[in-house]
Amino acid sequence: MPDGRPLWERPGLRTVAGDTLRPGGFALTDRAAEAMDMMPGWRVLDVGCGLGATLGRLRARFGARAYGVEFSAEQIEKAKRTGMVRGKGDCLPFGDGTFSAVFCECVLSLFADPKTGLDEFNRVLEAGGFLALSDLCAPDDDGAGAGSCADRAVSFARTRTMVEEAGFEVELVEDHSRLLRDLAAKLVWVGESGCGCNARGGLGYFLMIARKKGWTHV
Amino acid sequence: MSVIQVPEADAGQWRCATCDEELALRPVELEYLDSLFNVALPACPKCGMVLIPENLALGKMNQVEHLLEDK
Ligand SMILES: [Zn+2]
Repeated sequence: MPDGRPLWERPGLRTVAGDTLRPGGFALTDRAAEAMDMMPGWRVLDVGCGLGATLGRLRARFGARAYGVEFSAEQIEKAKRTGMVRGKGDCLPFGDGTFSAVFCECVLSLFADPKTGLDEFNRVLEAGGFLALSDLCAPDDDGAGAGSCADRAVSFARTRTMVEEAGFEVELVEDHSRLLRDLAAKLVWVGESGCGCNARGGLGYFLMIARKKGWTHV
Repeated sequence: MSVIQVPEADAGQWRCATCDEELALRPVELEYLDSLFNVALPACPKCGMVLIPENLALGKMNQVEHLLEDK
């Protein structure tokens, strides 16, 4: 019988991806934190934090005061971590200018309205604050519809435009499509071959660091 | 890197022909193109010979190869 649960709640994905549930594990989390020179004590928000693995990582390795927002009550229950609140990424339960950095890893393409989400990220960031965005990207914008993250992925150009229109300046972009391919291959190994990660040809994976506008160099 | 367990990795009736040893599951690194996978496979505890069961070679292994070559 086909497993109707979303991919990120199936045990197969836990086995191959550990607790991070996304391509590359912590590699891109670390990469982003280093690229923005994250300092101990920074208030950092992870949107769509799942089991909170990124929170633990950013606390332990970078000394961040990390908070997470997760929509799935089941994930929050399972995570048993502090600093996690239930909420939606496009309606964040935090005041304006609260955070030095916002992380959104492999989640934005699941948003019903990514534009509203990006506006919210911008709102809760202080001026000059960083957005670390990693996600799937598609070769075109044809398939952007309902369904899995793979079905919903849009082109990188479209994502970049949305980020800029939400009031960010893009500082760094990296192509990490190999990490997506590796995850898809590992899912085949554990028998999750129905995975959406590979359902659509030509999918890629990227890391983007952007900064909230409205700050001045000193 | 965590070890991937696959149900196909069953030694069945196979023994190592050289050592006449029973095969036991052992983590084996499989490299293909740029990707590395750590998969538990039946291997000879004495000489290290690894058995890749036919249905694994023709099934998942083949699928993974296609997937990695595809892009
Ligand atoms: Zn032997």
